[in-house]
Formats: sequence, C-alpha cells, structure tokens
Amino acid sequence: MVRSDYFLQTEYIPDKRSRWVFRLLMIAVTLIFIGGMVLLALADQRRTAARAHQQLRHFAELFEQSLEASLAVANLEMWSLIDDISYLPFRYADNIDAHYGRRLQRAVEEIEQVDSLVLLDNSGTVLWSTAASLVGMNLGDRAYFQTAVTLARDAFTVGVPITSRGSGRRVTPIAWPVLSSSGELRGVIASSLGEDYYASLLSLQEVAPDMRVRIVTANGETAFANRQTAEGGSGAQMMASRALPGLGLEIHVSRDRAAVMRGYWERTIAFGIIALALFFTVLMSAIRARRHSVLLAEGLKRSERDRLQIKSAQREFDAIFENVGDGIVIFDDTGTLRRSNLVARRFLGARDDDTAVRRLRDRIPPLPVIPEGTATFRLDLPPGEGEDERQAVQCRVKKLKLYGAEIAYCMLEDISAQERLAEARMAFVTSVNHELRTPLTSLSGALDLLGDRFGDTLPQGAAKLVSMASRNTERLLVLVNDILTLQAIDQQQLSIAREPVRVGQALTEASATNAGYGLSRDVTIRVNPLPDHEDPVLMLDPVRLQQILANLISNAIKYSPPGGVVNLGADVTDKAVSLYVTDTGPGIPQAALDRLFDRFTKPIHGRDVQASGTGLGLAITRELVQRQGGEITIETRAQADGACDSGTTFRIRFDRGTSEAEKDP
Amino acid sequence: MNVLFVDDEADIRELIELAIMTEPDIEATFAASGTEAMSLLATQTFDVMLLDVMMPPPDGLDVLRAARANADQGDAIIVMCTARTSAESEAEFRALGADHILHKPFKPLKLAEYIRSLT
Repeated sequence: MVRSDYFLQTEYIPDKRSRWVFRLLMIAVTLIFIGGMVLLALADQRRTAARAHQQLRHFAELFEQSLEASLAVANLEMWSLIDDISYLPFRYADNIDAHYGRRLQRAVEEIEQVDSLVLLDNSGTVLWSTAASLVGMNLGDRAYFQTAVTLARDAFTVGVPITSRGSGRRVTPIAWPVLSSSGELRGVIASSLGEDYYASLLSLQEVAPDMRVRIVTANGETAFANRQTAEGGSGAQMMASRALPGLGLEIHVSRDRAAVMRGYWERTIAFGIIALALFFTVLMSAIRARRHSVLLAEGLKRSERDRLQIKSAQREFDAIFENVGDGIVIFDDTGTLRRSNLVARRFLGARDDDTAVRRLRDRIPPLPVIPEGTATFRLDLPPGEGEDERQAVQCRVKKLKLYGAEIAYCMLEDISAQERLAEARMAFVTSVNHELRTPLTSLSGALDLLGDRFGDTLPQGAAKLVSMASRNTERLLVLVNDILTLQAIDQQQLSIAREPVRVGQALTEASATNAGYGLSRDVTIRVNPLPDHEDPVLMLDPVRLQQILANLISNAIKYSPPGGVVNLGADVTDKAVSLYVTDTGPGIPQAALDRLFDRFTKPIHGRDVQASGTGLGLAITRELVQRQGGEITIETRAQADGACDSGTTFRIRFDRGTSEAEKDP
Repeated sequence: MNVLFVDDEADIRELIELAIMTEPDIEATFAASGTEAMSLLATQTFDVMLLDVMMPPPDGLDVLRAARANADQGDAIIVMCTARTSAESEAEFRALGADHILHKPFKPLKLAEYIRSLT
C-alpha cells in the first residue's frame, strides 16, 4: 500500500533569486555585447576614415610630385630653349620668325607640357606666338609677365587661370624670363597649362571614381578640376591638400565621405548581423542550458526525495514483512531472489535468508514440478529453539510470474495446534461413534431377535411397540452411519475405489436394492431403458455410486404419493452421462433450494409433507458425487410454488472424458 | 464349524448366542477379553474367528497377531468387527492378516448366513 503523501501535490518551483540573477546576468551580457559592438564599430569607423584620409594625402603627394617633376622637366627644356634664343637681344633680330620660328615650333612639338608659346619682349609686345593673331599685341599688363621679368635664371611663374579666348577653355599661364647667359633680360616666354595637361598627368595616377582633384592657384582660383564642382557637391567631403610652394599652386583631393564609408557600413552591418546571430545563438543556448540545468537540478532533487521515500516505504514494508504472523519465504529458481521473514526463519531454524530458503527447498518439490496456482505441503520440522515438540507447518506455495521469471511465494503456517485439535476431535468422534454403536448393535439385534423369535406370541400392542422401537433404532443407525461418512469426508479419509461401472447395471441394482422400501410405501421404481441401448462404462466407485442412488431413490420414494412411480434412468451424450431420479412428489420450494444440500438443514416442507430423515442424506450425496468428479443438479416444480404437476428430478452428471473407462474392443 | 467370538460386551455376546444357537452347523465359543481369547487359541483350533477390535488391552489386533503367530490356527478365517470405516484402518487390518472386515453395527440374525458365506 503506497501512501498518497509520498507523492508531490505541487510542481517544483525553481529558486526565484537564482532566476533573477540569471536574468540580470543575461541583460548585462547583452549590454556589454552591444556596447562592445558599438565601440568596435566606432573604432573601425575612425580607422577607416583615417585610412581614407591617409590615402587621399598620399594621392595628393604623389600627384604633386608627378606635377612637380613634369614641370621641372618642362622647365629644363624651356631653359634650353631660352638659351638657344637669348644670344642676342630681340631688337637685333628683324625677323623673329625667321630666326627663331623653327626652334620655337620644335619646342612646342617636343615639350609635352607646352602646347602653345608666346614670346614677348621687354615691353610686353608679342614678338612670336603659335597663335598668329597675338603678334604685335602688348601683354605687358599681365600679371605673369610682370612676375616673370623679376625672376632669376631657372625659375618660372604660374599665373592666374584664365579662360582662353580662342578655345573657351580654362588655361593656366606659365611664364619664364628670357635671360641671356650674362643675366640680361631679353623678354618673356609664356605658355599655358591646359586642362588636358593636368588630366593626362592625373590619368597616370590611380584615381578612384568618386575622387575629386582640384588644382588651385594662390589666389584661390581653380586651375583644374577633374569633375564639375556641382557634381557630388552635396554631403560631407573628406579632403587632403598639398601645396607646391614654389609655384603658388595647391592640390586639393577630396572624396565623398559617404562613398568612402560605404564599404565601412557594409562591412559593419554584415559583421554586426553575424555577431548578433552568433551572440543570440549563444544567448539562447545559455538560456536553454540554464533551463536544462534547472530541470536537472529539479530532477535530482526529486529523485533524492523519491529515494528517501522509497527507502522509508521499504523500511515500512520490511517491518511489516519481517513481523507478519505467518512465515513468508520468497525465492526464484535463479537464486537471485531469496527473502524470508522472522517467523519463517524461526520455523526453519535459520539465521539468514539463504539458509531459510535452502532448508525450505529441501522439503518441497523443485519449483518447476510444483503445480500452478497454490499448492499446499505439510512440513514436519524439527523442534524450535527451547521446545521439544516437532513443528507441523503448512506451506502454501504460490507460483507467481514476475518480470518474466517464476517466483515462489511460500506462506508458512503453524498447524501443530490445528492438527492436535483435529486429532482430538477425530478421537472424540471415533470414540463417541464406538460408544453409540455398541449399544445400538445390541439394541437393534435384540429387537430383531425379539421380532423374529417371539413375534407371533406377542400381544398386538406389544408387537406394534417392538416394531416402533425397531424402526427408530434403524433411523438412529442411519444417522450414526451418516455422521461417520461425513467425518470421513471431512478428514479426507473417504476412500474412492474406482473401477469400471456399467451404468445400466448400476441402475438395475439400485432399483432392486430399494424395491423393498418402495413396496412398503406403495411406490413403484421404474428403470427407463438407456437411449440407443448403449450402456456406457464409467470409472466410479460402485459402492459409493449405489450409496448415492440409494439416497436419492429413498428420498424420492419417501415423498412420492401412494401409487406413485419413481423413474430412474440416464441421458447419454458424447461428452457426459447424466443419471436421473424423478419423482412426482410435492417438489421443493424455490426458496429452499439453496440450503437443500446443507447439513442438518431446517425442514424444507411443512409439517404435513416433511418426511423424517437425518438431514444429512443430501449433504453426503453431494460430497460423494463431487468426490468422484461429478455434479449434482435439481429440477423441481413445487406445489408450494403453485405447480399442478409437481415433482423433482435429481441429476448426477459425470464427464465421459475423465470418468469413462476404456471400452473393451 | 468352530467359530470363536471375541467381544468385551456381554450383551453382544448374549445376542449372538441367542441368534446362532438355533444353527446346528455352527459351534460357537465366546471370549469376553483378549486375554481369554489368547488362552483359548492355545488350546483349541477354530475355522472362523470374529474379533472385536476395540477392547481393553490386549485388543482385537493383539488377538489377531497372536492367531497369525500360532501355526495351529493357520487355516482360520479371521474377521475383524469394527465401527471404524476408514480405508486406512481397513488396510492396517488386512496387513496384519485379517481376511474380512465386518462393520458394526451388524445384524445378529444375518450372522449365521454371513459366516457360511465365508467358508
């Protein structure tokens, strides 16, 4: 029996504090992660911006170097030209073109940086030009002219960009003083740096598509821009500049900040997504792990509690098992299960389970031989400690199937007292029986002799009295015999000696034996022929069968009306033989049927119908029938229940399978 | 035919005597105790013996043993008269040498016929 309080009524609630701690921890980890991510992103942004700026600066520097180198080369070549044309002052050359035209033309062709030339004298008058229209004009007011005349050898000046009248393009004037080898100023030679020049110079560098390059003169004018200013003017710009100090030029390189940072954002977002995914995976794992660990802890706690409960239940069971009044021994055939309790060990004189089981098994048949269900064995055991009488113990063995193995559950019960009591009772009955029979024998013998020898000489009244005494003596004898038979049945000492019995013959014999009694009551016994003239043979005790039939027939005669007929016969089927005794008496009331076979039952019929008897006849009959494997049934229609054709049929059914003799061929 | 009846009940002995005294072919001898029966066994031989089992010692079984131990009584038919009907006691009697068992109560009037049926 498992008590209900061994089981939890409420679900396990995990520790609230630990849950909050875990939540806070999770929040803290998330915040730290997000903070770290932001910091990383910011640092990366700064680094990206710095790197882009550095690149811009580097680019500007490279471009500046390339521009400087290019101009230095042009300068050298120009000075070589100047040397060629400065032997004489220009006023001595009546025809400049004739003298220097070819040389100047060659310079235009050979010097990459120069696509036009203008030669001016000291006063600023154009002496020669690639554009013939300019010859004769005075350009003495031009800033580059005024600067150039002040320059020393190997120097040149770059002027403010102007929009060319001829081509409409923006050009930057560049001018050299024409100095003779002695340092005498002859004039100025000027040219222009077109946007094409800058563009071709720029094309030698690697220019990012969004990069804007501007060359600005000292006064802030733009000499060159690779893109229109309006284009991409919106948004923040990132810029680097580099000055060419000797020339008064400055190179501005700028990029759209958004374009520079686009890569950064793409990278940051991708990285962020991956990091977030990883982080949340880890977070979820942590939460799950935590939940599992909570469940695990709960399970452990519960199993620990269960273990304790099982232990206490076990202890309780052990206490009951150990101290129960009967001896109990449990064992199986494999030797894994060996249990016994205190009483069992005392019976078997054993100190431990092993000895108890061994001693018990020595006294009962092997386990496989013991029949299914409950088998009972009587054990005669040596006297217990401090006693001198041997112990009579009843051992009931019940075979159980448990987890596929066969287990013997043995209950040991001290039956010494019972046996002694039974012996005493038996001795008492035997003795009473003897004491009753001896005088009865004398009494009935004496009455018989009196009737036999002196019946004729007795006066009529005396003869009647002798007959009455004789009849009642007979009744007393039947009673004593019945008691004796029942005692034998109760003591399991009723012997059944089976032999082949022909049913037809048995019926005839029973009829003949009881015919006399029938005659005295004016009742005829009729034996009905067996169906198909078959005469089945059954394995029965012939004496006991006659006793059964005599009981039933005498009952039937007793209750038949004078002139009545008692029918005797048997129904035969393949499976069973059913013997019957039918009377036409008053029948048995339904209400009395269930106590019909009880011993010393109270009268079934009213005083007017009830015949005298011992009250044991049917009890004995049923025992005798059952002891031979048969079954007794009644069909009855009672006058008391309102039947007109009243009567009773007793049937005794024996299975042919078990009680039939093997037929002789 | 010499028949020995052993019974400690005087009434029974008397009834039997009354019942079979009219039978010419039966010569009845009576013993009232086991001791008396044993002394008779020493001096006479009997064709049939009817021994009551339940007597004060020596009882019917002692007489049975004595009769079977006596070579002179070798041909005697021994019937044990008893109120005991159990199969066990019957087997015991037969094991000791009893030929028949007569259950009490018996009818004294039918006794002569019964004795004749034995021989």
